Amino acid sequence: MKCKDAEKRLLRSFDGKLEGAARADLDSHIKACPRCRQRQKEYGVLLKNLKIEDVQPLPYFWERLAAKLRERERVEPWTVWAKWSRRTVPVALALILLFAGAVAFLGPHEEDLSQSEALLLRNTNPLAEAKSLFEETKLENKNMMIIFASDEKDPTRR
Amino acid sequence: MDESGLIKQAQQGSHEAFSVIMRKYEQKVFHLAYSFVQDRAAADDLAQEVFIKTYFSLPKFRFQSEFGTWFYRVAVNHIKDYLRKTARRKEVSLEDVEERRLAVEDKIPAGEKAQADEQRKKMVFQMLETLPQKYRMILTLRDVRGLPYEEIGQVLGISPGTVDSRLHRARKMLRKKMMPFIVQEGGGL
Repeated sequence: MKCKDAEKRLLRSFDGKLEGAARADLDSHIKACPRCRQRQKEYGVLLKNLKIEDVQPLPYFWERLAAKLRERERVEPWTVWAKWSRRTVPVALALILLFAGAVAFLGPHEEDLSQSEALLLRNTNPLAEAKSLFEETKLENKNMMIIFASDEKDPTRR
Repeated sequence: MDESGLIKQAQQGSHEAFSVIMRKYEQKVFHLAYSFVQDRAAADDLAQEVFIKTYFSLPKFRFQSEFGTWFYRVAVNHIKDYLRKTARRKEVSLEDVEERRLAVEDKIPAGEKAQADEQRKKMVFQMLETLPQKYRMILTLRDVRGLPYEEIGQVLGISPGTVDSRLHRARKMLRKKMMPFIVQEGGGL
């Protein structure tokens, strides 16, 4: 076994993840290799020094935490809103979609509208044409305009 | 009431339910924080911050994983942020460590053994702080806290295979950093 592989196995052995033949191979390599034996000791010392005794939290941990929570909730009321908005957003979206659908289906369609209504819906002045008709001074032209206008606006009249 | 019932109540803003759930994790979180900062007051503050963060993150918990794992992940991420912000990965002064080593190597009266052990530990932890965060994290979770590979994988979001290889690299890095201070005879520090 190469020392590099032995080091890998050695480190696994510290986690109890080396058993059977692999363990036996490592043991025999370590017995024969002073470098790996030294390395085993070094890792052993390192890992031992990484163990620490458990220390207890300072007194009144929960009382202090509860006070901090109350304080933060006062300081950050938006967090309460955020908590609730998570639920209200989908409901609000559903309501908006429902309303939009209802308007699309039940609202007035252009073919049902009078010409003035249709023009108003398109944000066009319905009196613009009438205005130009009234402003026309020549009687002949005025008559022609009336004839054409009535012809355009009522396709049933021919 | 079972844990999921308490979590639902805490999600609605019940401090009492939150406190009941969290008491179960108090020691675990405090010890985790202590493993990183090695100072009781700082660990206490950090643990409290973890609980506060958890309280405000609780509505995000969707019961899709085990609560303990989710909570531990929140804790580890918060600690990572804390370490980044406080830039605790400071370089250790070699003179400082050298002084300690010499002190440890001197003949130590029996009464001072505990103090020497403490100094040795401090030195190892100082070196641990100088490792890149992902290696420091995995060494702390495994070798300081003793978490099993599977749990480390879940908390860090990596496979057990990656835990194994990262841990191997981290231990090698730490040993390399400690090499100048390891007394060759007997592998002692």
